[in-house]
Amino acid sequence: MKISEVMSMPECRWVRAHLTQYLDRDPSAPLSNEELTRLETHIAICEKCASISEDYKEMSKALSQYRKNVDQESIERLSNSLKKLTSEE
Amino acid sequence: MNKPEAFRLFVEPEIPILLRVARSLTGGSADAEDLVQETLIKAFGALEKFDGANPRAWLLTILRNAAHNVWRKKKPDYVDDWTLLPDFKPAFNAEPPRSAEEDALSGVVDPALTKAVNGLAEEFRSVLILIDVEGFSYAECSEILGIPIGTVMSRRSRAVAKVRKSLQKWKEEAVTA
Repeated sequence: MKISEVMSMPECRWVRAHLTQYLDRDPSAPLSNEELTRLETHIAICEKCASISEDYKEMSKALSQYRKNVDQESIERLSNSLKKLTSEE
Repeated sequence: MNKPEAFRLFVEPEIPILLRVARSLTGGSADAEDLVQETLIKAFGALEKFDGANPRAWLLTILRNAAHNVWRKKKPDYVDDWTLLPDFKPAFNAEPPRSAEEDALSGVVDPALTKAVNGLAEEFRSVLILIDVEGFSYAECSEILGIPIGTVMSRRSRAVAKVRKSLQKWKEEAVTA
């Protein structure tokens, strides 16, 4: 292991702990500007963390391909069932 | 407006979200519909206890409890539902040993990814499916599961790391085999 890799290990840990938060960019959990700079600077110089970041992106993209719309017929059946349920009172 | 009418007015717009959450909890559209049906009946039966403040949160709590009481006993298999999805491309180029049946699914579904996701403990899997598959936000996931956003974030982070680790392990094993 190179000395530079050992030196950057605590930073790697911090980056990996915040990586999904960074990639998701969810409005309820934003990173601060300082955190964004810190993370992006590290990704730019650390091959391992950059590779993990790419893997996470690929995995998230693959999982999103399972996404499908809710069946309209199910919605209609449940709406009808709801009407029946509430009209029985 | 009487109470049954008010109930219908509040609940009907929530049916699509209830179906999406139910699908993530049961792993199948037919089971999801049954679970939502059960939720509506239970909610209507408990109408007197509802304060009218947040119908979605109230319904999601009932749905979650119904799922825990009944559907968890069925040990849902998420793969059955996912394999129906077209045009799926494998992630990570993972190539575990394949059977003839799996070869037939090549390019349609990634068995390594589904295996890795299904191998997660339920608390991690549910967060991953709600966010990545169903497309819910952290806040929605927090509301659906009844856990703080910080817990959603940490579970998601750990879930993703665990799935990646499994995929890497299988990839390395396939190379050395």
